[in-house]
Amino acid sequence: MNTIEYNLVPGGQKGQMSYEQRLDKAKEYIKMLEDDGRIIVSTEFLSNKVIIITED
Amino acid sequence: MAKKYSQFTVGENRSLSDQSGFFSLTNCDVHGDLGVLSNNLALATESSTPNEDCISEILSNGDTFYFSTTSGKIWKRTNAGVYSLVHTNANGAHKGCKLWQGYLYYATQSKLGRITEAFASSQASWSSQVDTWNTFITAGAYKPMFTIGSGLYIGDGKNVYLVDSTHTFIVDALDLPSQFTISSIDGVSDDLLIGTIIGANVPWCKIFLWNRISPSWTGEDVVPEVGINAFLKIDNMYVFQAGTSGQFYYWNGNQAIKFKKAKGVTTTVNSYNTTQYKGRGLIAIGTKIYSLHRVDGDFPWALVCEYTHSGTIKSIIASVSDVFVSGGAVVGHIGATYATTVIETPEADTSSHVDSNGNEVPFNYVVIPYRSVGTVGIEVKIDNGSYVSQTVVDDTTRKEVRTATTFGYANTVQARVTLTGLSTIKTVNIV
Repeated sequence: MNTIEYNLVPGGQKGQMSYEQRLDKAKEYIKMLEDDGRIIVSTEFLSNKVIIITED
Repeated sequence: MAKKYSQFTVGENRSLSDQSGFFSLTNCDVHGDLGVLSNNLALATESSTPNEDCISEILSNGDTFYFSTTSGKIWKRTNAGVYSLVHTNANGAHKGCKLWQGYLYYATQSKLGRITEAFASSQASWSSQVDTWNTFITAGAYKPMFTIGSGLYIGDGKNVYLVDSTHTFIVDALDLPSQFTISSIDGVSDDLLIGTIIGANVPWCKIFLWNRISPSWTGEDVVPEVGINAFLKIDNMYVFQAGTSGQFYYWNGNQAIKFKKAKGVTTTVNSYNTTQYKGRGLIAIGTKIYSLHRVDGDFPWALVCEYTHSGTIKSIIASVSDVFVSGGAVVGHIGATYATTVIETPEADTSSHVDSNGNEVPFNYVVIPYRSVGTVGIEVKIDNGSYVSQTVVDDTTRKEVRTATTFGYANTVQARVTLTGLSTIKTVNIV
Protein backbone atom coordinates (compact mmCIF):
# COMPACT_ATOMS: atom_id res chain seq x y z
CA MET A 1 0.00 0.00 0.00
CA ASN A 2 1.14 3.51 -0.80
CA THR A 3 -0.36 6.65 0.70
CA ILE A 4 -0.52 9.83 -1.31
CA GLU A 5 -2.02 13.05 -0.03
CA TYR A 6 -3.12 15.88 -2.27
CA ASN A 7 -3.03 19.14 -0.35
CA LEU A 8 -6.26 21.13 -0.79
CA VAL A 9 -5.46 24.10 1.44
CA PRO A 10 -5.36 27.19 -0.79
CA GLY A 11 -2.54 29.67 -0.38
CA GLY A 12 -4.61 32.82 -0.28
CA GLN A 13 -4.34 36.01 -2.29
CA LYS A 14 -0.85 35.49 -3.68
CA GLY A 15 -1.59 34.23 -7.14
CA GLN A 16 -1.86 30.67 -5.93
CA MET A 17 -4.48 28.06 -6.72
CA SER A 18 -7.89 28.40 -5.09
CA TYR A 19 -9.57 25.55 -3.22
CA GLU A 20 -11.66 24.74 -6.28
CA GLN A 21 -8.60 24.72 -8.54
CA ARG A 22 -6.79 22.44 -6.12
CA LEU A 23 -9.78 20.11 -6.01
CA ASP A 24 -9.81 19.95 -9.81
CA LYS A 25 -6.05 19.31 -9.83
CA ALA A 26 -6.47 16.55 -7.27
CA LYS A 27 -9.04 14.83 -9.48
CA GLU A 28 -6.72 15.22 -12.47
CA TYR A 29 -3.93 13.73 -10.41
CA ILE A 30 -6.04 10.70 -9.48
CA LYS A 31 -6.82 10.18 -13.17
CA MET A 32 -3.11 10.51 -13.97
CA LEU A 33 -2.37 7.73 -11.49
CA GLU A 34 -5.05 5.52 -13.02
CA ASP A 35 -3.69 6.21 -16.50
CA ASP A 36 -0.29 5.15 -15.18
CA GLY A 37 -1.79 1.78 -14.29
CA ARG A 38 -1.81 2.39 -10.55
CA ILE A 39 -4.61 0.51 -8.81
CA ILE A 40 -6.39 2.86 -6.45
CA VAL A 41 -7.73 1.17 -3.35
CA SER A 42 -9.48 4.21 -1.91
CA THR A 43 -9.82 7.96 -2.17
CA GLU A 44 -11.03 10.02 0.75
CA PHE A 45 -11.92 13.67 0.16
CA LEU A 46 -11.44 15.73 3.30
CA SER A 47 -11.74 19.49 3.67
CA ASN A 48 -7.99 19.99 3.66
CA LYS A 49 -6.69 17.07 1.59
CA VAL A 50 -7.47 14.05 -0.52
CA ILE A 51 -6.04 10.80 0.78
CA ILE A 52 -5.30 8.34 -1.99
CA ILE A 53 -4.33 4.77 -1.19
CA THR A 54 -2.83 2.75 -4.03
CA GLU A 55 -2.30 -0.97 -4.13
CA ASP A 56 1.44 -0.96 -4.96
CA MET B 1 56.30 52.75 -5.75
CA ALA B 2 56.56 49.02 -5.18
CA LYS B 3 53.40 47.01 -4.98
CA LYS B 4 53.22 44.07 -2.68
CA TYR B 5 50.47 41.52 -3.23
CA SER B 6 50.32 39.15 -0.29
CA GLN B 7 46.70 39.15 0.82
CA PHE B 8 46.03 35.64 -0.39
CA THR B 9 43.22 35.15 2.12
CA VAL B 10 41.28 37.97 0.44
CA GLY B 11 40.97 35.77 -2.65
CA GLU B 12 40.04 37.11 -6.06
CA ASN B 13 39.36 40.82 -6.42
CA ARG B 14 36.49 42.62 -8.12
CA SER B 15 38.25 44.05 -11.16
CA LEU B 16 41.57 44.44 -12.93
CA SER B 17 42.47 47.58 -11.01
CA ASP B 18 41.04 46.58 -7.62
CA GLN B 19 44.14 46.35 -5.43
CA SER B 20 42.49 44.22 -2.75
CA GLY B 21 43.15 40.58 -3.57
CA PHE B 22 44.26 39.02 -6.84
CA PHE B 23 42.82 39.28 -10.33
CA SER B 24 42.73 35.49 -10.48
CA LEU B 25 43.82 32.57 -8.34
CA THR B 26 43.66 29.16 -10.02
CA ASN B 27 44.35 25.80 -8.35
CA CYS B 28 45.49 27.57 -5.20
CA ASP B 29 45.43 26.73 -1.52
CA VAL B 30 45.33 29.99 0.42
CA HIS B 31 43.58 28.72 3.55
CA GLY B 32 45.76 25.77 4.55
CA ASP B 33 48.67 27.84 5.86
CA LEU B 34 47.66 31.44 6.42
CA GLY B 35 49.92 34.05 4.89
CA VAL B 36 51.32 31.90 2.11
CA LEU B 37 49.99 30.35 -1.08
CA SER B 38 50.63 26.79 -2.26
CA ASN B 39 49.56 24.59 -5.13
CA ASN B 40 46.55 22.42 -4.54
CA LEU B 41 46.60 18.80 -5.59
CA ALA B 42 45.21 18.46 -9.08
CA LEU B 43 41.95 16.74 -9.95
CA ALA B 44 42.54 13.43 -11.69
CA THR B 45 40.14 11.07 -13.41
CA GLU B 46 39.14 8.39 -10.93
CA SER B 47 36.92 6.44 -13.26
CA SER B 48 35.77 6.56 -16.84
CA THR B 49 32.51 4.98 -15.70
CA PRO B 50 30.11 6.61 -15.16
CA ASN B 51 30.73 7.70 -18.74
CA GLU B 52 27.80 10.11 -18.61
CA ASP B 53 27.34 13.32 -16.63
CA CYS B 54 25.67 12.58 -13.32
CA ILE B 55 24.23 14.00 -10.16
CA SER B 56 25.08 12.13 -7.00
CA GLU B 57 24.23 11.39 -3.40
CA ILE B 58 26.33 9.87 -0.62
CA LEU B 59 24.87 7.32 1.78
CA SER B 60 25.55 6.90 5.47
CA ASN B 61 28.16 4.19 4.84
CA GLY B 62 30.10 6.33 2.37
CA ASP B 63 28.84 4.63 -0.79
CA THR B 64 27.98 7.21 -3.44
CA PHE B 65 25.38 6.81 -6.16
CA TYR B 66 25.64 8.53 -9.50
CA PHE B 67 22.44 9.18 -11.44
CA SER B 68 22.93 9.94 -15.11
CA THR B 69 21.40 13.19 -16.31
CA THR B 70 21.35 11.93 -19.88
CA SER B 71 20.00 8.40 -19.43
CA GLY B 72 18.45 6.14 -16.80
CA LYS B 73 21.77 4.59 -15.73
CA ILE B 74 22.69 4.50 -12.04
CA TRP B 75 26.19 3.68 -10.82
CA LYS B 76 27.50 2.92 -7.37
CA ARG B 77 30.87 4.01 -6.07
CA THR B 78 31.76 2.05 -2.96
CA ASN B 79 33.50 3.87 -0.18
CA ALA B 80 36.62 1.98 -1.29
CA GLY B 81 36.39 3.53 -4.75
CA VAL B 82 35.00 0.68 -6.87
CA TYR B 83 32.46 1.71 -9.52
CA SER B 84 29.69 -0.47 -10.94
CA LEU B 85 26.47 -0.04 -12.87
CA VAL B 86 23.68 -1.11 -10.52
CA HIS B 87 20.53 -0.24 -12.43
CA THR B 88 19.04 1.36 -15.53
CA ASN B 89 15.89 3.34 -14.85
CA ALA B 90 13.40 2.91 -17.69
CA ASN B 91 11.97 6.39 -17.02
CA GLY B 92 14.93 8.19 -18.55
CA ALA B 93 17.34 10.87 -17.40
CA HIS B 94 17.51 11.85 -13.76
CA LYS B 95 16.53 15.25 -12.41
CA GLY B 96 17.27 14.95 -8.70
CA CYS B 97 18.37 12.59 -5.94
CA LYS B 98 18.44 12.64 -2.16
CA LEU B 99 18.82 10.34 0.83
CA TRP B 100 15.85 10.59 3.18
CA GLN B 101 14.85 8.57 6.19
CA GLY B 102 16.41 5.26 5.12
CA TYR B 103 15.56 5.57 1.43
CA LEU B 104 17.51 6.81 -1.53
CA TYR B 105 15.06 8.85 -3.62
CA TYR B 106 15.67 9.72 -7.26
CA ALA B 107 13.56 11.66 -9.71
CA THR B 108 13.13 11.45 -13.43
CA GLN B 109 11.03 13.88 -15.44
CA SER B 110 7.71 12.49 -14.23
CA LYS B 111 8.48 9.78 -11.65
CA LEU B 112 9.93 9.60 -8.19
CA GLY B 113 11.76 6.35 -7.52
CA ARG B 114 13.30 4.96 -4.39
CA ILE B 115 15.21 2.09 -2.84
CA THR B 116 16.10 1.44 0.76
CA GLU B 117 19.52 2.64 1.75
CA ALA B 118 20.48 -0.91 2.77
CA PHE B 119 19.47 -2.50 -0.54
CA ALA B 120 21.01 0.32 -2.55
CA SER B 121 24.39 -0.63 -1.14
CA SER B 122 24.02 -4.38 -0.77
CA GLN B 123 22.52 -5.33 -4.12
CA ALA B 124 25.18 -5.57 -6.81
CA SER B 125 22.41 -5.29 -9.36
CA TRP B 126 19.37 -3.56 -7.95
CA SER B 127 16.19 -5.60 -7.72
CA SER B 128 14.37 -3.92 -4.82
CA GLN B 129 14.03 -0.47 -6.30
CA VAL B 130 10.71 1.09 -7.26
CA ASP B 131 11.38 3.49 -10.14
CA THR B 132 7.79 4.66 -10.31
CA TRP B 133 7.08 5.03 -6.60
CA ASN B 134 5.16 8.21 -7.26
CA THR B 135 4.23 10.66 -9.99
CA PHE B 136 4.99 14.33 -10.63
CA ILE B 137 2.54 16.61 -12.38
CA THR B 138 5.02 18.74 -14.32
CA ALA B 139 6.78 16.31 -16.61
CA GLY B 140 10.16 17.57 -17.71
CA ALA B 141 10.78 20.07 -14.97
CA TYR B 142 13.94 19.97 -12.94
CA LYS B 143 13.49 18.35 -9.50
CA PRO B 144 15.68 20.03 -6.89
CA MET B 145 15.52 18.27 -3.51
CA PHE B 146 16.28 19.31 0.03
CA THR B 147 15.70 17.68 3.40
CA ILE B 148 14.68 19.85 6.31
CA GLY B 149 12.68 19.23 9.46
CA SER B 150 10.54 16.18 9.01
CA GLY B 151 10.48 16.03 5.25
CA LEU B 152 12.10 15.69 1.88
CA TYR B 153 11.00 18.68 -0.21
CA ILE B 154 11.05 18.45 -3.98
CA GLY B 155 10.52 21.20 -6.53
CA ASP B 156 8.45 20.34 -9.60
CA GLY B 157 7.63 23.25 -11.85
CA LYS B 158 5.77 25.76 -9.68
CA ASN B 159 4.89 23.16 -7.04
CA VAL B 160 6.63 21.88 -3.94
CA TYR B 161 6.11 18.22 -3.07
CA LEU B 162 6.82 16.65 0.26
CA VAL B 163 7.79 13.16 1.34
CA ASP B 164 7.13 13.26 5.07
CA SER B 165 8.76 11.25 7.82
CA THR B 166 6.34 8.36 7.32
CA HIS B 167 7.05 8.41 3.58
CA THR B 168 3.62 9.74 2.68
CA PHE B 169 3.85 11.55 -0.64
CA ILE B 170 2.14 14.95 -0.37
CA VAL B 171 1.33 16.60 -3.68
CA ASP B 172 1.24 20.40 -4.01
CA ALA B 173 2.33 21.05 -0.44
CA LEU B 174 2.91 24.58 -1.76
CA ASP B 175 2.19 26.16 -5.10
CA LEU B 176 3.77 29.30 -6.48
CA PRO B 177 2.29 31.59 -9.14
CA SER B 178 2.39 29.79 -12.44
CA GLN B 179 5.11 31.91 -14.10
CA PHE B 180 7.73 30.55 -11.70
CA THR B 181 9.65 27.29 -12.02
CA ILE B 182 11.50 26.08 -8.97
CA SER B 183 15.20 25.85 -9.78
CA SER B 184 16.82 25.19 -6.40
CA ILE B 185 15.88 24.63 -2.76
CA ASP B 186 17.67 25.17 0.51
CA GLY B 187 16.93 25.78 4.17
CA VAL B 188 17.15 28.71 6.56
CA SER B 189 16.93 27.36 10.08
CA ASP B 190 13.81 25.20 9.70
CA ASP B 191 12.29 27.29 6.92
CA LEU B 192 12.56 26.52 3.23
CA LEU B 193 14.22 28.88 0.75
CA ILE B 194 12.91 28.34 -2.76
CA GLY B 195 14.85 29.68 -5.73
CA THR B 196 13.05 30.11 -9.04
CA ILE B 197 13.46 31.01 -12.68
CA ILE B 198 10.83 32.54 -14.97
CA GLY B 199 12.64 31.93 -18.24
CA ALA B 200 16.05 32.15 -19.85
CA ASN B 201 15.08 35.44 -21.49
CA VAL B 202 13.60 37.08 -18.40
CA PRO B 203 16.13 39.13 -16.44
CA TRP B 204 14.58 38.68 -13.01
CA CYS B 205 13.22 36.01 -10.77
CA LYS B 206 12.17 35.61 -7.15
CA ILE B 207 13.29 33.82 -4.06
CA PHE B 208 10.60 32.63 -1.66
CA LEU B 209 10.78 31.82 2.04
CA TRP B 210 8.28 29.30 3.38
CA ASN B 211 7.92 28.22 6.99
CA ARG B 212 6.53 24.84 5.78
CA ILE B 213 3.42 25.21 7.94
CA SER B 214 1.51 28.12 6.44
CA PRO B 215 -0.57 27.48 3.33
CA SER B 216 1.42 30.17 1.55
CA TRP B 217 5.01 31.36 1.54
CA THR B 218 6.04 33.77 4.25
CA GLY B 219 8.56 35.99 2.48
CA GLU B 220 9.81 36.82 -0.99
CA ASP B 221 12.26 39.06 -2.79
CA VAL B 222 12.91 39.95 -6.39
CA VAL B 223 16.37 38.98 -7.61
CA PRO B 224 17.50 40.83 -10.77
CA GLU B 225 19.03 37.73 -12.37
CA VAL B 226 17.98 35.05 -14.85
CA GLY B 227 17.16 32.46 -12.23
CA ILE B 228 18.60 31.22 -8.97
CA ASN B 229 21.02 28.44 -9.80
CA ALA B 230 22.45 26.91 -6.65
CA PHE B 231 22.66 27.37 -2.91
CA LEU B 232 26.09 27.10 -1.35
CA LYS B 233 26.75 24.98 1.70
CA ILE B 234 28.31 27.45 4.08
CA ASP B 235 27.90 27.39 7.83
CA ASN B 236 25.74 30.22 9.19
CA MET B 237 25.36 31.93 5.82
CA TYR B 238 22.63 31.45 3.25
CA VAL B 239 24.47 32.15 0.03
CA PHE B 240 23.24 31.41 -3.46
CA GLN B 241 24.55 31.91 -6.96
CA ALA B 242 22.21 33.43 -9.51
CA GLY B 243 22.11 34.46 -13.15
CA THR B 244 24.71 34.07 -15.85
CA SER B 245 27.40 36.49 -14.73
CA GLY B 246 28.78 34.77 -11.63
CA GLN B 247 26.85 36.85 -9.08
CA PHE B 248 26.44 35.60 -5.51
CA TYR B 249 23.80 36.79 -3.05
CA TYR B 250 22.99 35.98 0.53
CA TRP B 251 19.65 35.86 2.31
CA ASN B 252 19.62 38.24 5.28
CA GLY B 253 16.35 36.93 6.69
CA ASN B 254 14.15 39.24 4.64
CA GLN B 255 15.92 40.00 1.40
CA ALA B 256 18.54 38.76 -1.03
CA ILE B 257 21.64 40.95 -0.74
CA LYS B 258 24.50 41.16 -3.26
CA PHE B 259 27.55 39.40 -1.90
CA LYS B 260 30.34 38.39 -4.30
CA LYS B 261 30.98 37.94 -7.98
CA ALA B 262 33.09 35.44 -9.86
CA LYS B 263 34.64 37.41 -12.72
CA GLY B 264 34.40 36.29 -16.31
CA VAL B 265 31.38 34.04 -15.90
CA THR B 266 28.87 33.99 -18.76
CA THR B 267 26.87 30.86 -18.05
CA THR B 268 24.38 29.48 -15.61
CA VAL B 269 25.43 27.02 -12.89
CA ASN B 270 23.98 23.59 -12.18
CA SER B 271 22.05 23.17 -8.93
CA TYR B 272 24.15 20.16 -7.90
CA ASN B 273 27.42 22.07 -8.33
CA THR B 274 27.88 22.87 -4.65
CA THR B 275 29.27 20.92 -1.74
CA GLN B 276 31.23 21.45 1.44
CA TYR B 277 34.72 20.07 1.79
CA LYS B 278 36.75 20.40 4.97
CA GLY B 279 34.48 23.23 6.02
CA ARG B 280 34.92 25.13 2.76
CA GLY B 281 31.89 25.88 0.65
CA LEU B 282 32.65 24.80 -2.91
CA ILE B 283 30.84 25.75 -6.11
CA ALA B 284 31.67 24.55 -9.59
CA ILE B 285 31.32 27.05 -12.43
CA GLY B 286 32.19 25.76 -15.89
CA THR B 287 35.36 23.73 -15.39
CA LYS B 288 36.46 25.54 -12.23
CA ILE B 289 35.70 24.75 -8.60
CA TYR B 290 35.75 27.81 -6.38
CA SER B 291 35.77 27.95 -2.63
CA LEU B 292 33.89 30.68 -0.80
CA HIS B 293 35.51 30.56 2.58
CA ARG B 294 37.23 32.32 5.42
CA VAL B 295 39.33 30.61 8.03
CA ASP B 296 38.84 33.26 10.68
CA GLY B 297 35.73 35.27 11.45
CA ASP B 298 37.74 38.48 11.14
CA PHE B 299 38.74 37.67 7.57
CA PRO B 300 36.73 38.66 4.51
CA TRP B 301 34.98 35.92 2.56
CA ALA B 302 37.42 34.83 -0.13
CA LEU B 303 36.53 33.48 -3.55
CA VAL B 304 39.35 31.26 -4.82
CA CYS B 305 39.52 28.74 -7.65
CA GLU B 306 40.81 25.66 -5.85
CA TYR B 307 40.50 22.99 -8.55
CA THR B 308 40.03 22.67 -12.29
CA HIS B 309 38.30 19.72 -13.96
CA SER B 310 38.91 18.38 -17.45
CA GLY B 311 35.31 18.98 -18.58
CA THR B 312 32.31 21.15 -17.82
CA ILE B 313 31.14 20.14 -14.37
CA LYS B 314 27.66 18.70 -13.85
CA SER B 315 27.86 18.01 -10.12
CA ILE B 316 30.26 17.85 -7.20
CA ILE B 317 30.05 15.97 -3.94
CA ALA B 318 32.51 15.66 -1.08
CA SER B 319 33.45 12.88 1.30
CA VAL B 320 35.55 13.41 4.39
CA SER B 321 38.83 13.48 2.48
CA ASP B 322 38.00 13.86 -1.19
CA VAL B 323 35.90 15.76 -3.72
CA PHE B 324 34.21 13.92 -6.58
CA VAL B 325 33.43 15.76 -9.76
CA SER B 326 31.13 14.58 -12.53
CA GLY B 327 31.57 16.24 -15.88
CA GLY B 328 33.04 15.65 -19.30
CA ALA B 329 31.72 12.06 -19.04
CA VAL B 330 34.19 11.09 -16.31
CA VAL B 331 34.40 11.29 -12.54
CA GLY B 332 37.35 13.24 -11.24
CA HIS B 333 38.71 13.48 -7.73
CA ILE B 334 41.65 14.93 -5.88
CA GLY B 335 44.71 13.16 -7.23
CA ALA B 336 48.24 12.68 -5.98
CA THR B 337 50.15 15.23 -8.03
CA TYR B 338 50.16 18.96 -7.63
CA ALA B 339 48.25 21.15 -9.99
CA THR B 340 49.78 23.95 -12.00
CA THR B 341 48.86 27.05 -10.07
CA VAL B 342 48.29 30.36 -11.83
CA ILE B 343 48.19 33.68 -10.01
CA GLU B 344 47.37 37.00 -11.62
CA THR B 345 47.95 40.21 -9.74
CA PRO B 346 45.82 43.29 -10.28
CA GLU B 347 47.40 45.85 -12.57
CA ALA B 348 49.93 47.72 -10.48
CA ASP B 349 50.02 51.44 -11.05
CA THR B 350 51.67 54.31 -9.30
CA SER B 351 50.19 57.42 -7.79
CA SER B 352 53.04 59.29 -9.40
CA HIS B 353 55.76 58.24 -11.81
CA VAL B 354 58.13 60.81 -10.28
CA ASP B 355 59.77 60.39 -6.89
CA SER B 356 60.39 63.12 -4.29
CA ASN B 357 63.65 64.07 -5.98
CA GLY B 358 61.97 64.60 -9.29
CA ASN B 359 63.36 61.43 -10.84
CA GLU B 360 61.33 59.24 -13.15
CA VAL B 361 60.44 55.96 -11.44
CA PRO B 362 60.40 52.84 -13.55
CA PHE B 363 58.94 49.44 -12.81
CA ASN B 364 61.90 47.11 -12.57
CA TYR B 365 61.12 43.59 -11.48
CA VAL B 366 58.61 41.05 -10.31
CA VAL B 367 59.99 39.45 -7.16
CA ILE B 368 58.50 36.39 -5.50
CA PRO B 369 59.85 35.41 -2.07
CA TYR B 370 59.20 31.77 -1.32
CA ARG B 371 59.38 29.17 1.40
CA SER B 372 59.88 26.36 -1.11
CA VAL B 373 59.60 26.33 -4.84
CA GLY B 374 59.28 24.06 -7.85
CA THR B 375 59.34 25.77 -11.22
CA VAL B 376 58.16 29.37 -11.43
CA GLY B 377 57.12 31.09 -14.62
CA ILE B 378 56.50 34.83 -14.72
CA GLU B 379 54.71 36.73 -17.45
CA VAL B 380 54.23 40.46 -17.43
CA LYS B 381 51.63 42.63 -19.07
CA ILE B 382 52.65 46.27 -19.62
CA ASP B 383 49.94 48.92 -19.89
CA ASN B 384 47.23 46.27 -20.26
CA GLY B 385 48.80 44.88 -23.43
CA SER B 386 49.55 41.18 -23.79
CA TYR B 387 51.41 38.91 -21.42
CA VAL B 388 55.08 38.49 -22.29
CA SER B 389 57.05 35.65 -20.77
CA GLN B 390 60.05 36.74 -18.72
CA THR B 391 63.41 35.16 -18.01
CA VAL B 392 63.54 34.42 -14.30
CA VAL B 393 66.34 34.06 -11.77
CA ASP B 394 66.06 31.80 -8.72
CA ASP B 395 68.09 33.38 -5.94
CA THR B 396 68.39 30.44 -3.56
CA THR B 397 70.27 32.51 -0.97
CA ARG B 398 67.53 35.13 -0.62
CA LYS B 399 64.87 32.53 -1.43
CA GLU B 400 63.21 34.57 -4.12
CA VAL B 401 62.45 34.20 -7.78
CA ARG B 402 62.60 37.39 -9.80
CA THR B 403 62.56 38.57 -13.35
CA ALA B 404 65.98 39.01 -14.90
CA THR B 405 65.51 42.26 -16.79
CA THR B 406 63.82 45.56 -15.99
CA PHE B 407 60.62 46.74 -17.67
CA GLY B 408 61.38 50.44 -17.73
CA TYR B 409 58.78 53.18 -17.66
CA ALA B 410 55.19 52.10 -17.76
CA ASN B 411 51.79 53.22 -16.58
CA THR B 412 50.70 49.83 -15.29
CA VAL B 413 52.25 46.40 -14.83
CA GLN B 414 50.38 43.16 -14.23
CA ALA B 415 52.08 39.88 -13.40
CA ARG B 416 50.98 36.32 -14.06
CA VAL B 417 52.85 33.71 -12.07
CA THR B 418 52.76 29.99 -12.85
CA LEU B 419 53.84 27.51 -10.20
CA THR B 420 54.62 24.00 -11.45
CA GLY B 421 55.39 21.43 -8.80
CA LEU B 422 54.78 22.10 -5.15
CA SER B 423 55.65 25.68 -4.29
CA THR B 424 54.86 27.85 -1.32
CA ILE B 425 55.22 31.54 -1.97
CA LYS B 426 54.91 34.47 0.41
CA THR B 427 54.02 37.34 -1.87
CA VAL B 428 54.17 38.70 -5.40
CA ASN B 429 56.03 42.00 -5.47
CA ILE B 430 56.09 44.36 -8.42
CA VAL B 431 58.91 46.78 -7.74
